[in-house]
Amino acid sequence: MKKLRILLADDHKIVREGLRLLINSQPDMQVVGEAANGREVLVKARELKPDVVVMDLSMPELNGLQATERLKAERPEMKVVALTAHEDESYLRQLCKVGAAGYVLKRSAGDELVKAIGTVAKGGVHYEASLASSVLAKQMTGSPVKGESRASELSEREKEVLIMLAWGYSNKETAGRLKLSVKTVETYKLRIGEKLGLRSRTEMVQYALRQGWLNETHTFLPLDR
Amino acid sequence: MNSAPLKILLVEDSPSDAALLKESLTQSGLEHFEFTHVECWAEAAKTLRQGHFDVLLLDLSLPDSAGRDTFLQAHAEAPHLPIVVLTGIEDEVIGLDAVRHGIQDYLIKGQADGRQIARAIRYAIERKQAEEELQKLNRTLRALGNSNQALMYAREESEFLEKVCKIIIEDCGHAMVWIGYAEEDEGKTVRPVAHAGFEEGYFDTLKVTWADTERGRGPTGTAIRTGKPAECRNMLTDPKFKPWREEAIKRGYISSLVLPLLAAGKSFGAVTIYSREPDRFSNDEKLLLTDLAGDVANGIMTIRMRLLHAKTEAELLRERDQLETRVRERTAELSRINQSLQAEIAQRQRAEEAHRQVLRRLAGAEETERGRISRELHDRLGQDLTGLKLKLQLIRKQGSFAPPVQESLGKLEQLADGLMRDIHRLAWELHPAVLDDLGLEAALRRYATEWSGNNRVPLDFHSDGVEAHRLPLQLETTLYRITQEALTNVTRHANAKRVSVLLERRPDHVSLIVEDDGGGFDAGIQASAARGKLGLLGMRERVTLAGGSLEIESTPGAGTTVFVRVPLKQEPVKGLKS
Repeated sequence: MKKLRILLADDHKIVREGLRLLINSQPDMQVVGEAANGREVLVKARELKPDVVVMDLSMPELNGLQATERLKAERPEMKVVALTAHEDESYLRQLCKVGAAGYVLKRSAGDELVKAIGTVAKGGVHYEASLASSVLAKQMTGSPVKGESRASELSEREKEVLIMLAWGYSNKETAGRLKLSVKTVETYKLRIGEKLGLRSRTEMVQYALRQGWLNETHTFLPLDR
Repeated sequence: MNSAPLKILLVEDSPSDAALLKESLTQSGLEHFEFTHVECWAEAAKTLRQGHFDVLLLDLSLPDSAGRDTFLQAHAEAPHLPIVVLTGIEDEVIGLDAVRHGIQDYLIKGQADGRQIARAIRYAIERKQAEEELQKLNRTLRALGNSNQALMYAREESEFLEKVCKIIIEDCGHAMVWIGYAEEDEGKTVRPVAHAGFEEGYFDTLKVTWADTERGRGPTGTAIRTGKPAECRNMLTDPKFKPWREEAIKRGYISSLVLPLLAAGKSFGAVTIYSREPDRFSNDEKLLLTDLAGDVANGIMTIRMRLLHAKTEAELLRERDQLETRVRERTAELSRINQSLQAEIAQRQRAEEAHRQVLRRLAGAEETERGRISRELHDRLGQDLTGLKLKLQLIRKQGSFAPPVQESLGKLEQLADGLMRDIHRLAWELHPAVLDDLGLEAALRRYATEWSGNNRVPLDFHSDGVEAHRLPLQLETTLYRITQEALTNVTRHANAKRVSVLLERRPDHVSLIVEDDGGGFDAGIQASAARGKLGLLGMRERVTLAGGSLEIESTPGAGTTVFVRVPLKQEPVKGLKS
């Protein structure tokens, strides 16, 4: 039975050693090379043509993300499992973007890593469960679309106030610009939220964006104080 | 006048004609007259200089003068004397010519009887008197006009008064004139202030008062006291003039007219005019001179008003100048104060700038140190723990140990696991690697998620324009820390149900808004209360160091919004930073 050929990339010798022992203890896996930084990974990968690269993200020269991007650009068939201490969905998202098939936290290294290597070698993906679910949840649902059908319920004045607030003006600045009292702007803001079911300033901005109300070029002029 | 004999001077070279004329006059019923007869011009001139005559009867053909010359000489010698020319029939043209030259009448010898001659003489005297009077009035009128003109040019009271006196003398031909002011002193002195004409120390002897005393009952004192013109027709006979008689006569004064100077119905002085002739002032002339005195009084008042006005004006000018000076001084003082203030401000600004520099360096140093420790934890401790854990796993799997040992190994693995988690969290809290690696948007998103989870408050994060082009790392760190602090405030104080974090890049600035719908507060109170509570640097200091502005808008019950705006000057740093 042909063993999976693994390239290990980590700037820490102890970690590499641990990983090597772990992987080599698997009957169907074999560490064929090791690299201590991003550049070395690229060189070794060309040279050794491994099936899977286990890539640490924090490395000198080229970091894991950049190395992955180049590697995948050169050899799309090569699988990359990212190994990181960062429990951050942004990293996961970035790594997905550049084509890493696996994302394993160092904390879960060991069984999880072995599982991940096996999965990606077969063409699957293995992402750290806790992060993947939240990324997926957001991608699937986005934020619920609100208020669209009710746009006509806004008066012209309310619309103006909403647009000003969406541009990032304070209540005071909005009041100054539209020649209203601050109190009135506050009232309008509450009413807009109620009418359109918008619960926060962010939702108001997103609503205005979707309506295309922030499309025209706007010169931001804060009030002189 | 009727009682005095009419003094007639006859100049006639023919004794028979003279006798005939005298005979005719005597028969004509002309009241008593004194008849003086001379036969040539030289004698006539001599006689005229010696005595007073009422009329001159003049034959033109004399041994030492003939025709026209005769009457011209006579008129020049005695301009005020009525002259009646006696001519032969052949001289009638000359006779007419004579009338044109100031001669009163002419008689053709042998044609007029005594009565006609007497009438001619009387008429000649009357005509001459009327003519003289007219001339006097004319002169006085001229004086009136001139004095009014003098007023127009007068700058000063005494100058004006001197001028008026001079005019009265020159135009009217009086002997002397003086103007005196009624003093309000104990003796009610009349103080001479101006005069013209012949006086020769007269004033030293004058001692006039306007009190009702002997020296006050003369014309001047009387005029001032009564406010009406007063006169002395003849100083030789007027008993009231006794105190001054001797001195006046010495100087040839015979009569005087005094006109009070009135202001608002009250006399404040008088114009006194002396004449060499008795009873010199006709009613018409008195009226004209009264007018003149009125004009003089008005003139004095006008000048005084002018003076007062000028003085007031000068006063005002001086006050204005003083005011201007004070304003200038005050302005100078203010500008001095302003300058020192400016200097102080500049110094303060320098001090503040130095302070900011220190803060900036401190903040930078803190952030660097946090980053260093964070990396150290992550890269060394974290990796070592990873190695430790991997080895523990291997040991556990490879050997067959007794169950207690197996259990211990499992616990050690769990311990390493927990340590890794803690270290990662600690490193992230100290300085999130994601901020350096992936940028502000990713770091904030992560922080927002953590915060929301920890606080169980929904947080809507929205960003625009900061993912593709990263901001300068220092600014990203600043904005990250500000968001952290703002959200920490929300945790502590707001009791919010929902929170917004908005990060937007605009063409010239980056805008960060953190808004909650919690309790809100009074911005001023919160600003002062928050100071000193949060970290090394407060939000406001951080924003100021980045050259931006921070506004907090909060209404009790309606939540709090923090607006941060930092202007962008340089081109953004592009791409990822390793």
